[in-house]
Amino acid sequence: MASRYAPIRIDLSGVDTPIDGILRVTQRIGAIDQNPDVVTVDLVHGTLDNGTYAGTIPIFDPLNPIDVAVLSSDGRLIVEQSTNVRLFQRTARFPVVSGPAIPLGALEVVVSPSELPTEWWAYESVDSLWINGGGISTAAWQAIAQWVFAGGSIVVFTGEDYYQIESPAFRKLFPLRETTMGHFPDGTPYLAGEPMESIPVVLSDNQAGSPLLYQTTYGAGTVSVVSVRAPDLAADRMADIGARIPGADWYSLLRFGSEFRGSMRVPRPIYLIAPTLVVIILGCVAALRWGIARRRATGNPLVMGITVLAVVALLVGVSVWSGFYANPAKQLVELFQLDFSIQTHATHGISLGYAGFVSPATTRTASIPRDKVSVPTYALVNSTPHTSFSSATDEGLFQFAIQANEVRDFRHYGSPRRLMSFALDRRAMTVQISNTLFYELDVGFVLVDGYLYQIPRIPPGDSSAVLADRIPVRSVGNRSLYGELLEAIIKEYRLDAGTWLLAVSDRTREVPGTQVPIEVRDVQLHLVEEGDE
Amino acid sequence: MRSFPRIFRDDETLSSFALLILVPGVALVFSMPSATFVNEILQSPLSRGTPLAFFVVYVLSFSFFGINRGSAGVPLRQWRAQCLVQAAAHLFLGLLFTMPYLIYIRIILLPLDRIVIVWIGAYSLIVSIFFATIAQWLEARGTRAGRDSGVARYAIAAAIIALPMAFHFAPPGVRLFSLLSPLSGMIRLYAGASAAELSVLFTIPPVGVLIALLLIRRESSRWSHVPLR
Repeated sequence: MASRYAPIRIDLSGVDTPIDGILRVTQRIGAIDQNPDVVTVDLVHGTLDNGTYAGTIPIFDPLNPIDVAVLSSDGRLIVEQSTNVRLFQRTARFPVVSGPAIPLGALEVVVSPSELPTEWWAYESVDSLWINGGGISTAAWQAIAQWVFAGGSIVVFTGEDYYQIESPAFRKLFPLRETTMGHFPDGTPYLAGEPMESIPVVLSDNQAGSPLLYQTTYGAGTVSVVSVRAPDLAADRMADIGARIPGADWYSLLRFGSEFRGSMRVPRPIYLIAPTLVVIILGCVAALRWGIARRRATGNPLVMGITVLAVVALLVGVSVWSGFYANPAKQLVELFQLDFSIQTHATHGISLGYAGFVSPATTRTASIPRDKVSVPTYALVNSTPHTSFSSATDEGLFQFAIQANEVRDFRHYGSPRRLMSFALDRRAMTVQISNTLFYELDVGFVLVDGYLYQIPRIPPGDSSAVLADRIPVRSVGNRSLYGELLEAIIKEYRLDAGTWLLAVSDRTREVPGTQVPIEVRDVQLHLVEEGDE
Repeated sequence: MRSFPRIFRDDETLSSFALLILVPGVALVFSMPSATFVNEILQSPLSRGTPLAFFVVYVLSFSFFGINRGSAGVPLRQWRAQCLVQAAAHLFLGLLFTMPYLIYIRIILLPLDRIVIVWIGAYSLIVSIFFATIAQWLEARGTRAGRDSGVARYAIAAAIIALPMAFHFAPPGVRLFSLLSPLSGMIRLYAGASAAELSVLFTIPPVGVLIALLLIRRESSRWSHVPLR
């Protein structure tokens, strides 16, 4: 799908000896014969050998072929292959079946469990993921769990296959405990167990009324567990189940990203400087005229000489004063950049990133660090019509040209390490917080039983805080944009079902070492799940 | 330096200097962003402010200042080479007086390490010298014929500034002719002119000055009792 992430797998063969090179994927945006914009993504910088290389790339324009090339480390083309993806493109999210095919309709894509991506954002185009049988790696399970937390929807067929499917990464999503194997009256084996708290059974077996479909939520996503194997289900029951599976629904940072970007302050000099300059210079002219008039009246050149010297000194002084007046707080900013991210420090932690750029005056080259995040893609489809777009990624940066008076919105995803944790003492109502982010967070809130307790600041290292005044979640949104954000995120990810620490950092800085004056606002929201793990 | 004390002898000269200082000073205000937040820039592109507003007004002001100063030096009965020197002195002084604007813009509004401001200052000066010589020729011609050249001076200046702008809409090969207009020249300088464009921009006005000097010389020779000195 255009402007969505997709997994890519490249099989490299025929390499006699490992080479130091680059594995590059090139996409073109726009009509091929009309100077299309080129986006390159380097999947590998380093040693290349026979084998499979996998990654996740944003798909910009699936109407054009995608070129995969192997280049030497100095950029010389060694081999290139073009792949036509036009025939496989979809215009809407689609179901994916892992394992043997399941008749869901005409749209599903069937993949082998070993082909499942291990980066959760690679599932962005997936509407629902149907797990039919085992063989899924732990890394893929981890990615699936993260995807569900982000808003994905999985359907897991169990029955006799349950013990093949069971995985530590899946355990937290699974809605049953103390599982046993039962049999329907017709002898079909089914997975029975004690549902976790408030897990509804949304569909039961026709004959015995035994549970057939459990459904629960995890983060923003949905987990549906079918108590039997897929082959044991009749077509009408499969259709009943299919009708009850919600589609994936990812949370978009676009709204808050746009608002944070729009509320960035524009540094500017005070207007008074212009009239002040005018008055001073006009004063110089008047002084000169007076000096000349005095010379003509008295015939004494001294007064005029002094006047000329004073005028020159004043003009030089004004110019020097301009220099002293200059500082980063008053300089015209040529590129505004907002980096907004939500980092989840949890069992299946995810990071959602939004980068917004505004170039008020002239064409500039902007970049987004790729540090442990995916290659960014547009936050808005067609957000940049009629502008040239050239970008390239290396190991560290995603670079692109931004035109004058243009806005670019990107989003990117990642799998952060757990850098924060906290423990709540419910009796004393205190929290112990471990912050290994190496910077201070401006404000924090501990979410307990539907109430938010504010913590003024969270320093790096270990700290503790007493929870005193509490605010109902539903009223925090009235307070500020941060409050609205907190309320929306708590609702979206259903955080009020557990105990979480929510912490905000909002910094604005000049980018050092660049000739272009760039102002960067970095807004980070950290969601920390209770516990050490 | 005989011309120096004459600079502020009359109110007309003073007014033209005041205008040269005042008009770009007002434009300087519009070069600064009026937006307080980025949203305002997006909603109203004018609120972002751009030094180009100042530069356009600056080169126009300097052009008309050149016309004014060029014609002011021509006496009623005869033309002398000193008229040109005096006009040039006025223009240099105009540049000196507006130098704080350029320095301020360079430091605050164009904080990049560019020499574009030097090109802009130099270009404005040579354009004004060009207009001054043209104005002097027209004034000398008008004086000899006993008629006022004011309308012709400003009409020709307006034509030189405006007409080449039409080449903006021409095919790429012909588009270079738009650089005949000081307005186009300034826009290109601000946007970052190429070496070829720079050489064109800094060749046209001196060539124009040479042509105007030849015309002045021819005009001067027709003043039978006063040869060109």
